[in-house]
Amino acid sequence: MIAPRPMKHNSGEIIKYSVSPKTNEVRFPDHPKEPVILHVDMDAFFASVEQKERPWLAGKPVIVGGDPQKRCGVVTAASYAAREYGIKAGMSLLAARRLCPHAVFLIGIHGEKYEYVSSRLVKIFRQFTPQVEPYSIDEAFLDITGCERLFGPPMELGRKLKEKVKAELGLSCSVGIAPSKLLAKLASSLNKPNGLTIIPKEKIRAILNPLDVTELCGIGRSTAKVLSHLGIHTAGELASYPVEVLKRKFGIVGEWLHFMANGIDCSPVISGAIPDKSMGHSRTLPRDIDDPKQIASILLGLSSLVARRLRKGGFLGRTITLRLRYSDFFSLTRSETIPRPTDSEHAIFKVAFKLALGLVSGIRKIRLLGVSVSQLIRDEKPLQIPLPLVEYRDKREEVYSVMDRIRDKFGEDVIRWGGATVFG
Amino acid sequence: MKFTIPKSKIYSCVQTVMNAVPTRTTLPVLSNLLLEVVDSKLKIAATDLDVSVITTTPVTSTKKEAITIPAKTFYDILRELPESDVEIHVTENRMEIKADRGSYKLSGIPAEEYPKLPSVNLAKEIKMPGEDLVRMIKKTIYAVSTDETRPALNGILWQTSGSNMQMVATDGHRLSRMSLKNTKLKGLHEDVIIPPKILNLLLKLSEGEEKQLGVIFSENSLIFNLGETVLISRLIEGPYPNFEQVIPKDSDKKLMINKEFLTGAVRRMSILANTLTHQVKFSLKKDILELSSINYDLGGEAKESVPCNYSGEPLEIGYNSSYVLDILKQLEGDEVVFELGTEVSAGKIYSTQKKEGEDYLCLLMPLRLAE
Repeated sequence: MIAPRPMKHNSGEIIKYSVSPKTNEVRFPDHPKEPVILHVDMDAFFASVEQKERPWLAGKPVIVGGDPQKRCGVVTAASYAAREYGIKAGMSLLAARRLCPHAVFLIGIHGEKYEYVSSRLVKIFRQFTPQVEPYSIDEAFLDITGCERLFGPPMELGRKLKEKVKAELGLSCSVGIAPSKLLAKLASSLNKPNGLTIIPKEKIRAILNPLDVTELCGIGRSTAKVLSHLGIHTAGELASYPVEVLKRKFGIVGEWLHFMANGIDCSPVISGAIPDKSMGHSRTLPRDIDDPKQIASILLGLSSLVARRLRKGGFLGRTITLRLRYSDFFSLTRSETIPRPTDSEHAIFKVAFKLALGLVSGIRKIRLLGVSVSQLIRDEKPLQIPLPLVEYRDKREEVYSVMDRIRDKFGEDVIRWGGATVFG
Repeated sequence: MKFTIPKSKIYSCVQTVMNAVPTRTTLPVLSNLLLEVVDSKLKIAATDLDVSVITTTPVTSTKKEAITIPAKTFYDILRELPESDVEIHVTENRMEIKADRGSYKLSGIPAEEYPKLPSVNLAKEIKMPGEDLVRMIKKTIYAVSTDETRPALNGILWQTSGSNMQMVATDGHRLSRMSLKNTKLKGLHEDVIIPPKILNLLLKLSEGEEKQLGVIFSENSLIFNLGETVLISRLIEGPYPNFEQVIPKDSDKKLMINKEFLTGAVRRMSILANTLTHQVKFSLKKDILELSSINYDLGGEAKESVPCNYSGEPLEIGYNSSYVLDILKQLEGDEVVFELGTEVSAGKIYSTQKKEGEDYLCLLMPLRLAE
């Protein structure tokens, strides 16, 4: 028998396996063939956190939203009581107020509180399995394959998890359990709120087929529209539609649609933090502008926010994207990729401002500006230490680190670059 | 244009200029060679707009004429021709090559479409020993950076000052510097950054020749005159980073070791080193150097002890083994010295054997030891 070589899992963890001497079959003692994936989705997360903090709000329609004074008034979360009035995330606060005038509006609340609760949630999940993939601030996938001996059958584990979240944080969540991430996420959405749903292998088809395509993860309004032109309305219709035609219509996404409708999903649960794909900030301006000086000031402010976040997360990015909305709501994005990854606000600003100048028109003023950085890589100290050649060192880097330290200690808006707009 | 020339002569001229013909180009005429007859001289030239190579050879034709013809095709024809005289005849953008038994015709592009080559002002030429130049290039060129985000490092810095000169190259991880004293140059003060392509060409074309060669410094190009052949290159724009500053001044950790022993040991370590980092660990104790490497993918481990001369504090430091071997290859003599600081600072590496008037130094930055 050949000595087994350690094999690496996506998570970087080494998986041990053995080869059966008789059948030559590979066996993974910790990973039986059938995966069991659990998806947790918090119920009306932001609103529930607020209700927990202010018990007198329990059961009332609560709406968490942006600040209409700053012209960014949309609903970011609504409690279930509020949802009964037809209020959904993303609608304007004005519309929400019209639908439910007596709702409690919590406006302009900082996200850090939610991030903290989210990190405590992940800690609870890790008590069940180390394989936890936070998917967003209020969602996570857990690979609970082989956890039966510790916590009982999957349904039992799901129940224990829900109890623990309720007991420690006072929040309710919906849990879905299935053989894949795709189906687990679907399962958790089937009985919301406070649901616990399992999709066993033999019931996949029966559950999937009647579903409206928009209930599948990743199919939004525009995709659904194209599908309906093809006469596809349910997941069952999508599943039996010829994959070649889908591919021609949607490209690579077509194939993915086909797999999804058939419940096929092999993506593994990747434990660790959410891999960030891009970091960005945008602001609707207090009034419309077209003066390059003001644009520069806004962009330097936004670039500072982005760069600060990059440095906080330990990332460097290469592609800088400018988002712009004119006063007539016509929106554009422009991006440029720079040769060397950066976390410097001045490098980001330089590109963003150049892109913006190309879009300033004498006719339309600008209503919204956004700066984001993508193609992120971890800013890890390279193993090969560089020679400290002067040409290489950006003097500003030292200033950045001092500013970061001041912000860590006294708050984000106590210090800024001259000329930069400060965003609260 | 009509002249007769021994095949071997024109073939070797074409072979020389072929080095400058770009393999891919957006300007089709650059895939051609420029042939020009002026004052009984045949000039053959090629350029990729960065480097140009021009050779001249006497011919009997006197009329001033020029044409460009596809380089590769012309070269292939000449290569296959038997040894004898060939007659070249150009009329109306067509060239006919007549040899012993046959004739070969091909079409060209008018010479006017060929980019204008930099002019060579022989009045400003400085003669210097080709041997010195070649030696300096050979000792430094391995450290030139290929990282295009730092253009100044993509070439060798050549500094001449009075009768001293030096060449420096670095890729940001290692640095090589070769200085010569008392050269025959007097009063020349130039700082230029030379792309490696022309230097490699110079190494190739001056192989074995130990004669004088001419150098012309001009505004933004550098010209080497090898007699029949002239090499022209654009220069890289500076400034070159201040490298003097990164050369450690003094050190209390001096390792002296036999070069052959060390080279052999590092080679063996590199076989079982991590295939990405090529890391080999140097563990220094009194008069003993322990080398080790680990490759987790192979489950491989290597260890070796090499006797040496070391009396400093014990030190553990990691290096990229291929960088170490690159440097050891360049050092002459039996004994080499590593002057070290900490496990994260530059090491100064040189040979105990020094040539009169010459100073050769290599710097190497360590790898962070993972653990």
